[in-house]
Amino acid sequence: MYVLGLSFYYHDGSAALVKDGTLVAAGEEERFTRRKHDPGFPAKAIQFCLDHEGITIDDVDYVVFYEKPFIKFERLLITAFQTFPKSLRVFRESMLAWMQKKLWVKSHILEALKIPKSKLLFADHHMSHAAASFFSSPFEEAAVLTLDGAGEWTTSTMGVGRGTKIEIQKEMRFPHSVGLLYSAFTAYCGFEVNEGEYKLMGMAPYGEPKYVDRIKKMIKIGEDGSLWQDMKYFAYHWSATTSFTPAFEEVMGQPARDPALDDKSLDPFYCDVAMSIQKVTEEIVIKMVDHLVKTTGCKNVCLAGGVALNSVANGKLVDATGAEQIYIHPAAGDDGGAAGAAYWATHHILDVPRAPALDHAYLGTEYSDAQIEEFLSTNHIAFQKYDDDAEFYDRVSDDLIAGKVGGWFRGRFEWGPRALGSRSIIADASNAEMKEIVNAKIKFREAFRPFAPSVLQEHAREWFVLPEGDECWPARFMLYVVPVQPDKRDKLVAITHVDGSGRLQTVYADTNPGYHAMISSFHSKTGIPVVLNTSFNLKGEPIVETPAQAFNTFSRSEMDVLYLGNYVVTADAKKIIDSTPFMLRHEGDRVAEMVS
Amino acid sequence: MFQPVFAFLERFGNVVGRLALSLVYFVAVAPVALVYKLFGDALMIKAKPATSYREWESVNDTLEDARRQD
Ligand SMILES: [Fe+2]
Repeated sequence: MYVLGLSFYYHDGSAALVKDGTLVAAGEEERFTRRKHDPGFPAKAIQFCLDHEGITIDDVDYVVFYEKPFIKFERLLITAFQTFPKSLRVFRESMLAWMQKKLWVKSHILEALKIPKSKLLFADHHMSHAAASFFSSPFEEAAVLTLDGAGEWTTSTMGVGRGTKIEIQKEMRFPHSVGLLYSAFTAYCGFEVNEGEYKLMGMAPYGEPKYVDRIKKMIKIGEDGSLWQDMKYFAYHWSATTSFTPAFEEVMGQPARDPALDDKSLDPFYCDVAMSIQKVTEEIVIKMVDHLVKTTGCKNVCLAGGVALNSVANGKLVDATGAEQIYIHPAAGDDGGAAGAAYWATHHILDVPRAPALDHAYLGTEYSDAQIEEFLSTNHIAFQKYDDDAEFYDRVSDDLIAGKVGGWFRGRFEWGPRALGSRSIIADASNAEMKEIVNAKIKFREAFRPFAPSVLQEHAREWFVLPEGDECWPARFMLYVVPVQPDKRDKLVAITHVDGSGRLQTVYADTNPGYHAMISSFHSKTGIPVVLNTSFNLKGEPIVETPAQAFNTFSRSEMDVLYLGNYVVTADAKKIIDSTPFMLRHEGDRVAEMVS
Repeated sequence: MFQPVFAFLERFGNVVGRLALSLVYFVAVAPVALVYKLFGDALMIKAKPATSYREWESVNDTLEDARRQD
């Protein structure tokens, strides 16, 4: 049985295909259209999913949209009523968007896919989140917590998953939202909402949590972690342009940081604010998880929703709560809603038995040696091909030891926001200069943001302080920030953050054998089972999808060497292939888009 | 005969749309909103509850439920 899940018209339009309970293909539309965070109908991602299985849309049993559009519309109307007359602009902007597109989701899908009405289903937004995490988890029974900006009305749920069913018990509703609270501080600190949250999280360790008390003047945290916000400090429920009011700035003691500064400075006050909101977020999530574990008796916890991408908070959950094991779907945000919607229909509605856990995120397109070679030859790009894998890994590890930065393109691209060794830029994590080199010359981004380490799973505990027993699922998907072992920090200078932490990815030989073998080769020569890993894109560009995009991004940056499968291209071959689309987009969402 | 109208709408459609929506806001939304503000508090702006979690209301457990957009 095939079920196709779709999420679009908000952020990161995506398609995901579940076959008999297994997620077999998934991708964000941005990878194909090359428009970062493309919210449009994911026509290309759908086509990829079908092609991957060699089927047509007629072979798909159900198509599932990840939310209930009319309930969201109702929320917009009621919000406009309650915030009258301040809501004029946001009412106008969101009504235009709804009348032009969002109200017609059903007919758009039916028309585009030419499927009968009876095949089209709609899941609840937070059920999609919950299903993505629980049904891809290894747990037969688990507590499930979802947290995001906003779905239809819901901003958080608590529930339990058992076998093929999820029972959601409680919900928190708009405008009280951990995700929107965090986004308000993202905007206050001068970053774009729905884009700059990672920057805020990266900035936090440079500050102290001095302003927790000030933040708590504007909110109330319940014993169960529930959040109530005093809305006189917030504006996202009525303003099209701002998330907070002048009263917010008064409480915080300084005006908002100038967005023009973007990430070019590390003002101490705003670093302290970043650390303070990080601490408040952690307090909320910890209380929620603890409450959920106590009330359900489940020590396995599945997390989902955009807030589950706060890997710093995630890394603290096992030590700080009664939870023993955590699972988070690799695409924890709304992109993953597509997978969740498909899982939900498969299991919860149709009672199809569950498949083994999702232990990897390699669900995108891949290119064969023949395709890579054809691209290189057609475009007259000089290359060296290694027929012997061991020789190839030997070459790569030698390059890294020599201080080179490489573009690594191999296998199926990753589902979710993280590059996990299929579309990665790699470098020597023990080389002190690498952080500056990769930030300044290759990613063209702020120097304070840390890079992530990929570590051989067998050696992860020698190098990092992992919170859980044998399995440590979120680390597979780079969703835990944990301390680097204190005696190893001086060896991992390029990936150890200022507070001694690292956002590790554990690499398994059975799920990414090529990446594992390359790091093993590096390990055998250096004694270090870790490489620096950052996503293969420039700032504002979606992660590369094809060999041509990889080559162009390689050419536009100061990377030294490109590895396309076992094909090696060096810097002297750089040039731009004009026929390959290339777009940069730096801005995040406007506030009106964020809540509607 | 409608050609000039279409041309006008194509050029100024968004402006016209916004003007129309402003009118809707002050004529149709306003009376409901004024009453709503007196009696309703779906956003829990006035309330300050011990917990802001509430019972999950959605019923969406069968194919029939799932075909609905609400
Ligand atoms: Fe969401």
